Amino acid sequence: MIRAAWPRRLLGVGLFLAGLLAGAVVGCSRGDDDRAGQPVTRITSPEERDRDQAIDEPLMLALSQAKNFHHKARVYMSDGKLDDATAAVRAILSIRFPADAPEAEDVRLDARALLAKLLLGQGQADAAMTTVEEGLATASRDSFFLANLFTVKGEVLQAQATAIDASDHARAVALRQQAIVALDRSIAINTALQAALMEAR
Amino acid sequence: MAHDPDAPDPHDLDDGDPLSGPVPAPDVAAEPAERARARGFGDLVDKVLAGRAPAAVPADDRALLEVATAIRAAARPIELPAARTSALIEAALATAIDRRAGVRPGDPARSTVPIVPVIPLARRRARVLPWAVAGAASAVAAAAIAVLVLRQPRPAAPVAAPATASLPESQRSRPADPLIGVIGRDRAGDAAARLDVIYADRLDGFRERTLAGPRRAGAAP
Repeated sequence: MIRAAWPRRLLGVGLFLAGLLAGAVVGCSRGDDDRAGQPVTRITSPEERDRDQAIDEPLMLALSQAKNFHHKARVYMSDGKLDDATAAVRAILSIRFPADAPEAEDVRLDARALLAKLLLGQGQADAAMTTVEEGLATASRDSFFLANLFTVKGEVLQAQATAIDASDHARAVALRQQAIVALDRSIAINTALQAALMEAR
Repeated sequence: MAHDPDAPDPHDLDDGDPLSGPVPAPDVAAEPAERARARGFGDLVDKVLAGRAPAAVPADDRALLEVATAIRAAARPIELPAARTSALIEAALATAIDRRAGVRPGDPARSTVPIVPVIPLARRRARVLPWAVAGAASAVAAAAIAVLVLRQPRPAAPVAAPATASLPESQRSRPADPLIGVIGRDRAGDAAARLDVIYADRLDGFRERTLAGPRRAGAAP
């Protein structure tokens, strides 16, 4: 008699637990109603996108700082203080721009181009090449500033080839070939961008 | 000595029948035999009330017992437990049905009425309550699942069309390529001059956006 009652008790307990579980599941699944019909995925509205991309004070402040460092470097260069000028230009790379501001990449690539030329003028071809390669690695899109950096890369490679032409002619030839490749890349970028701009106008 | 026909028979007085003897005077002390008979009858009444009635009882004592039982029942009604009452009712009904069917009462082998154990109401409630809770929980579960399945997904909120036009390009942060154009090799290091141009252009856009006032709703100053 006692054994016969156990299956029925287990069945009752099972039904009770099933009820509790179903209630919990349904209760949890109704959480999205609290969002009052708002979609789960939030898409930035045109107004918000414009507000994010608008020219604002942080962008102007960053551009102003970069501008001041450039003028500072120009003064040092006019005085022949290339080390100080290099440091001033290098400081531009540390300026914090607003996130995703396209001007940030343009200004930094241009600063690296100037920095590489300054280092090259001081006989630091390897440091100049490192500066160029770091800039090329961080570029997110094709631009005239990127093309300019490829142009500077070609100059650096040409300078390196000239420096070792007497001692290692084969290596110098290889460097000149790499310089041509960099210059061709610069030309290709400029050509494509110009065509795009002309088409847009 | 003449025999009085109305006088009681001495044998009748000695046969232990108190009803047929002379009624003693109120102040007369009880005789030992009378005390013994009273004590014996008292024990008999106690046994009957305790449910241990002897198998055979003299007719006179039975009459007295019925009177004593009636007096006791009238003085203090007895309430049987519910289980005992139910059992008695069941037994009485079964006996009545068996009699109607021609079965001798007290013969369970031939009884036409199945013997159903009497379950007290308290135990019945104790058995029914868990099932009622489990059933209610199952009903709630079924209703919840039905609501979950049948609930129509709320239509997505329509994407509101932009109430105003986008910002003018001159007021937006953007690549400076159209502004600078192709950088010649002879000007590769003239970054300062290019930044002056970029800064001047962005300053114009910033002033246009901030000093001209909000030209559209929702535009941040």
